[in-house]
Amino acid sequence: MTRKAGTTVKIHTFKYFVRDTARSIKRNTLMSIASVVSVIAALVILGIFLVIALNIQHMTNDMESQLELKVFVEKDATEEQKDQLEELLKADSRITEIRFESKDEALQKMSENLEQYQGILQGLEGDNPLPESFILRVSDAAEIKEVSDSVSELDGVDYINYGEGYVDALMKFNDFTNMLSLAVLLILTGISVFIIYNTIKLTVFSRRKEISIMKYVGATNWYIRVPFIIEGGVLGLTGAVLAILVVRNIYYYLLGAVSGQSALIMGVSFAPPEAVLPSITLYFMIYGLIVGAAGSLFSITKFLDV
Amino acid sequence: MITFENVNKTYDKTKHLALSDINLNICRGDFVFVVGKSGAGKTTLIKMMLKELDPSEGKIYVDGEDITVIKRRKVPFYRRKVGVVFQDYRLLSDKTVYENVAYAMEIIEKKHKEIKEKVPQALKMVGLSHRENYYPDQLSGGEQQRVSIARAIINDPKIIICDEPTGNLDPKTSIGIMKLLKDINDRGTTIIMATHDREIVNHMQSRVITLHGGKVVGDKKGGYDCEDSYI
Repeated sequence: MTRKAGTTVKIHTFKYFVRDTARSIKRNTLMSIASVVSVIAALVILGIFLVIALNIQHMTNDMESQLELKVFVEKDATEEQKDQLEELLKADSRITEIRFESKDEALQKMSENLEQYQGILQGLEGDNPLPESFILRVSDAAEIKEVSDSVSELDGVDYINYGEGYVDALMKFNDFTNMLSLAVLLILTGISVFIIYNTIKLTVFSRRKEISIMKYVGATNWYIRVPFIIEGGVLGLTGAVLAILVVRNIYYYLLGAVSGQSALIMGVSFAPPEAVLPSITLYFMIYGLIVGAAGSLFSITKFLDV
Repeated sequence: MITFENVNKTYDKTKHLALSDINLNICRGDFVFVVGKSGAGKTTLIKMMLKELDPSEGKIYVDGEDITVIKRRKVPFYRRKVGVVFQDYRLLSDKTVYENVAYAMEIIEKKHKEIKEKVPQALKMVGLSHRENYYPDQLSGGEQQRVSIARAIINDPKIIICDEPTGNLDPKTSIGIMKLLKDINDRGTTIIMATHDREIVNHMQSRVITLHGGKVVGDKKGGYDCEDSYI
């Protein structure tokens, strides 16, 4: 019986919270709109930034997955040595793909790449000077240098080529964009919290009489806080949902604009919308809700010392 | 019901000694006036009873409980035992008379059924049943103060603290409000009322505590017969 009574009270209290939040948003329509618009602005900037960052990540992942190590075999290596080398490479868990390129294949590739020098290359067929090689792919591009170092010590390896400078630059660029995204995220989070904080502060200020009455009659601090926290959360969430729509449209527009130019930098393409938008949507909604609620919590706490 | 034991209050910022060596005992069912000039310490005394301020030294017992040591989160539960009436009524202008009174029950999570039952009773008691659906700005000052009294008694507090409740009202209306407070007092509720209104104090012939410069300079039953310099 007691339990049932408790539940009734809670449902009633919840109804009060919903009614109060709706009333407050309605009463402060202009401020509420202003704060939603501000959240949209902050989140759209953040969203564009995130889309760019996610695309850069997509592109670097693309490039990374195309990275290859070319392990040239010593000219006078015996068949036995080559077999042994292949076995050792296969045993290395960091290596995901091993392909052997014979002298003939190397020459054919070269002649395909250098079509205009067909004459000179034909002369090489009898005595092919190109070395044999193993072409490797690794699971994690960050490990490519380590793999290269350990493989170069194996018996029968002449030298290794993997475009060292290029990989390093790519890694550095990746780190840089990650850091930049984090910095932008922090700054824009600060701005959004500040905006919501001030909006709620105004609504709290306009309701300070009501709050003081609540305190004198014996309402608990949490009872006073909850409607404001809900209000902040609703404003943040609304801003987030609208910002998602804006970012989504911008992204589709950009994809449409570049779709004619399929040959993008180094054959790397834009990330497909389904890879970018769902994660941003989820992330934004949580973000809007938390930022809104936190902004509210900060501002209401200041007014509760009656 | 309320006991002040060697209470001193110095404001931290200004170092101003607001109350000094206050020893008081207010019994259950008393009707007590607190009088004195502005700055005599009336507001400080009232704020301490509402647990809005803590004394710098001394103890305050209300209903057997030392309120100077109540934890912050327990304060709301203490305040439910104390009704409060202000000079400026403090009604919510966007709520009707009924809603203003019901609000005090809603926020301490009373059941809907109980609210529907008790609010009309309280409004009847203060003589405002016919104004249930009016908004505060459609009422006279006296009527607004009656609403605020209905709100103060709705949760059956043991004590009602009134801070200049007739301060904004004409003498005739003030007498009506005092009658109402006396009715409530007759039902067993302790009432403490800070006021400047000499006529009312004389009319009621109750206990009068006179404050001057933060000290109790008079405490006796009767009218406002103390020295003029204390008023």
